[in-house]
Amino acid sequence: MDKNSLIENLKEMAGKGLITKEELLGALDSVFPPSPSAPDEQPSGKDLFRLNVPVILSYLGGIIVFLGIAFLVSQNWKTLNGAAKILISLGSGIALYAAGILLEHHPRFRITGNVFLLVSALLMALGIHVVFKVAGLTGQAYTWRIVIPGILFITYLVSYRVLQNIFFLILAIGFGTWLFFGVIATLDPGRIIRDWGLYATLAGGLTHVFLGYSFSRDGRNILGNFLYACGISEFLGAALALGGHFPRDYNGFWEAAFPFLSCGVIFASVRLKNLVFLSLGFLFLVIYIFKIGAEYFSPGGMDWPVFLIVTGAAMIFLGTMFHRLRKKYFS
Amino acid sequence: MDKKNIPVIVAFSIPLLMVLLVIAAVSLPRAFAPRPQYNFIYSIGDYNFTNVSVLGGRLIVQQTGISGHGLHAKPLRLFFYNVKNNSAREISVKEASGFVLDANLKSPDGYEIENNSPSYDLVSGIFGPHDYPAWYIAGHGTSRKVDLPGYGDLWSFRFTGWVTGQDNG
Repeated sequence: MDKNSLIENLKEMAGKGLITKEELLGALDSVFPPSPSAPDEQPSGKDLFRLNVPVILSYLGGIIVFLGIAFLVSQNWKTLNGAAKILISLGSGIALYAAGILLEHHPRFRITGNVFLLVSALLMALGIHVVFKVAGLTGQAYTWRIVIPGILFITYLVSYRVLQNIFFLILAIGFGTWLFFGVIATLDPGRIIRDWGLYATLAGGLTHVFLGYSFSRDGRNILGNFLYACGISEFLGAALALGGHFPRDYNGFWEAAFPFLSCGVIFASVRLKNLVFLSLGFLFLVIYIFKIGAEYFSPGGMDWPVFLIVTGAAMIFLGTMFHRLRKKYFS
Repeated sequence: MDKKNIPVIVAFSIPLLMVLLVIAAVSLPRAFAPRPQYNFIYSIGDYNFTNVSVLGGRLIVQQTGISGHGLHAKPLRLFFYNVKNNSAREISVKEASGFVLDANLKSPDGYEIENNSPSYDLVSGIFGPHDYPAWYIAGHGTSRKVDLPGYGDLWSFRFTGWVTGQDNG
């Protein structure tokens, strides 16, 4: 088989989904091992999700800095003039944004740069709110529901497009989610659609799952898995909550549909070969079993020991199934 | 269209679709439902010593004790709410007695006064309206907020009756 035919065959197989990008690259890596890179030159995605104690402390420190600035502005609201309030809040946010971009390019200061970008995002949200308050345009719920997340969503989407920094993409997704919930809330559907918050969470979860799928297909597995975890938790969590609590706030449709949704997630894990789906699918099934027990069995009643035995057996069964599926499809 | 972009297109379509569905659910019934036609009277204030009722279509206010005592006692106040203008004005007992009232919770044209109870899920708890107490005129699949004065007193809001007529005698 000549080289060009081989390449065409590989393209055809990849197009049909018979071979993934990772399998192909893994095979090539085994023949052409990657050149050793400097310890500092790591992909920024891995840096972002590598959470050890120093990294967690850095992010916590950044959040504390933000809280300090927020309290500084709020406690001195009457003594500071408008320009000072905006400078402290929005000005600091923009300054940290610039500093974060510069630091992020240096491998040794990548984590610090990400922390600066996180703090700048929080400060810019606060700063826009301060601008509106100084301008006397407060009291409108759409300011914090639509305007602030809308401006920041566009800002970080454009920033990602220009600078290709994955942190901006995560912030854009975060502010986009905030914007989505804000728009729904502004329409005030609570009087017409009961549990609108849960349905919005359901839709948000599905969106995150599809975004995660898109990133996973591009080889960004860490970001993809993070979005999968968020999306599936939102989706299954909302579906579980929609079932209500028997006998009050009870919704039989969602109560009955939930096990099928969980099984659907588990089935998807086999198709996508993704452990996040498998783990969360089983976890939520276990939570569902406990929920059913709390709703329909009363502690101290005659049926309580029966429930405990059945629950324990179900958990053993689920654990066995998890182990078997993992061994069969994921090893 | 590049198949690679389909998941992203679906991801953005889901929230857009939900927003459109919510807009349709909120505005379409309002477009087809008849506007509320009946004004109503409500009262706020101290009910421990005053009894407000409707008998034979007339407002009856009975003093059952001496009010105004106690730290939180507030005098009874009556308001006439105009559904066309979405405005309320305070009225006296004498003026209120001149109206013919229907004490049923549901008006003759199918509307009721409901309050805004807090939600218990995270999203609606954070993003939803936090104006408790707030009152809505709801019916025919629609719900409109009623603009009532005296925010702090609205915890003692009590619907009295729908104004179905006026006594000209």
